[in-house]
Formats: sequence, structure tokens, C-alpha cells
Amino acid sequence: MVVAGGQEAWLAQVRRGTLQYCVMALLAAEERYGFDLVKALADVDGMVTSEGTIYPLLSRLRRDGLVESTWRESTSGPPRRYYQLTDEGRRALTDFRREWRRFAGAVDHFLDGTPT
Amino acid sequence: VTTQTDDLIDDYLRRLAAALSDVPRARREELIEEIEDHIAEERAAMEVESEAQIRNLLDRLGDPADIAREESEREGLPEPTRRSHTMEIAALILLPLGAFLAFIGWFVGVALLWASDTWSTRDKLLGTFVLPFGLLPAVLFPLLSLGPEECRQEVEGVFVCEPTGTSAAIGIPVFAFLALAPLVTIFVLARRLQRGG
Repeated sequence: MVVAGGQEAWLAQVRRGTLQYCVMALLAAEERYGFDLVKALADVDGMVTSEGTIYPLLSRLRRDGLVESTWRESTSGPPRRYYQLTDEGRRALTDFRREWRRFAGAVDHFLDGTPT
Repeated sequence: VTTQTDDLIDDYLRRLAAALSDVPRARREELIEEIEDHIAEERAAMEVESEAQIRNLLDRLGDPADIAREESEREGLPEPTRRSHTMEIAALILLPLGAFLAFIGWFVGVALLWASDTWSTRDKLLGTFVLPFGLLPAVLFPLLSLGPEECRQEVEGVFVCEPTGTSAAIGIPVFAFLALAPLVTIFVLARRLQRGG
């Protein structure tokens, strides 16, 4: 998709800002380890441009107390760090989900109501 | 083929380490290990490893500079605790002017100055001693220095009257110092607050 320069930068920012909530939403369903999370996000087109940036994001979520992690032995290879959503993370996700739906609904309302 | 793909990966990890040079060592090593584990897991899933596949893998991981930027920036996300500088600003108002508020305001200003962790001890000493009571001395100085006029009888019955206080030649520089010194101090402290706080 080709978009104007300013739009591309803006989309990158939106993607960046919402990515953490996508990570948290994945973790709300089940605990996952880093690689597994990255692949789950990358499987959906348009969400992640640099897979490597998920790891700093996870570290930040951990520091902010929105997720926590536990090391578990793996049957194939070294132990893995599994991430879980904390109660605080769950609350933040609930708030974001509500605000996002409201906002996305409002934008869709205008975009869909205009001939393209 | 293996050595060539290993070289590609080594080169990638080297560039990542270089991009992360500003990140604290423990965290840098942790992140590099995570990326190494990621690459190892991708490679384990490959049936036949080709240079093209490795290049794709590294492309998907992204530019090391992007990963480093994500690590060091918190841009776009709210700070966990955004410092407001209410206490510091109150100190900067009370130090020059507090003495006019029933005199005690200046002491409150000094207390706030020393309670803040924004300023160094040197800054705090400057704020306290240049000048004590802020602008109050500058205001009082002209009132006190003029003094009552004293008249004395010169020869031939001529009365000469002069203020007993400081002469203008000394008085004006002293007044300028008393007025400017506290203002310079406040300026210095405010600059420090703006930069460092």
C-alpha cells in the first residue's frame, strides 16, 4: 500500500501505540513466551514491521507492571521466559478496549458515511 | 553455506550490540540473548537453511537501530510519574519575595529549596546566601542609607545640610548589587530546574 509520507509516519505511530495492547490481549487469553508472541503478532498482516522491537516492548511492559514473567523449562532447548498479564494489565486492557471501540466506531461512522 | 549464514547472523548481532551501546550492560546482554534465542528458534524450524531464508529472517527482525530506538525511547507513552515542579517553583518565588510576606516567607522558601532533589548542594548554598531575605535588603537599603539630615553651621552663619548616610557614589553600586544578586541567583536556579528537573 502506498500512502503519503505524513500518513505513513502517523500510521507507524498508531501501530506502535496500539501494539502493546495487542500483546496484552494475546496474553489475556493464555501465557506465552517471547518467540511465540512475536509469531502470533506477525501472523496478522499489518501489525508488526520489525519483529525484534517486540522484545524491548515486553521489557517495558514488565517494568511498568502490566505483565510479569516466569521461566519454564522447555522440551526443546533452553528455558523460556513466559509472560502473563497482571491484574493491572488486565484493567489497562479493559480501559483501552472500551476507548478504542468508541474511537474506531466514531471514525468508521464518518469514513463509511462518505462516498470513496 | 553454514559459515556464510553464520556470518550474516554474527554481523547482525554485532550491529545490534553497537546500536545498544548506550543501554545499561545487564539489559543490553539480556536483549541480545532474547534476539539470539529468537534466531535460534527460527533456524530450528527451517528444514533446509539457505542464505535467502536467513536474510528474510533478519529482515523480519528489523534494523538493529529500530530495536535500539524502541529500547531507549518511551516516546508516545505517558511517563509513569510526570514530575510537576510545584515545590521548586514555590521556592523560586519565595526566595526573592518571601521576606515581604511577614518576613517568614523567605524561611519557607529556603526550606523548600533544601527539600528539593532538583538542585545540587552548591545551588542550595547559592540560593540561601545570595542573598539572605531575597530582595528585602535592596528595598530597605535606600530607606536606611539616607538617614536623617544633619545640618551644621559653617563659618559665616551658613547652614549646610547633608544626609548622614551613605553617599550616592557608594550607595548606587551597593543598591544595584543588592537588587541584582538575588535575581541572578533565581535565574541560575530556574535554568537548572528547566534543564535537569
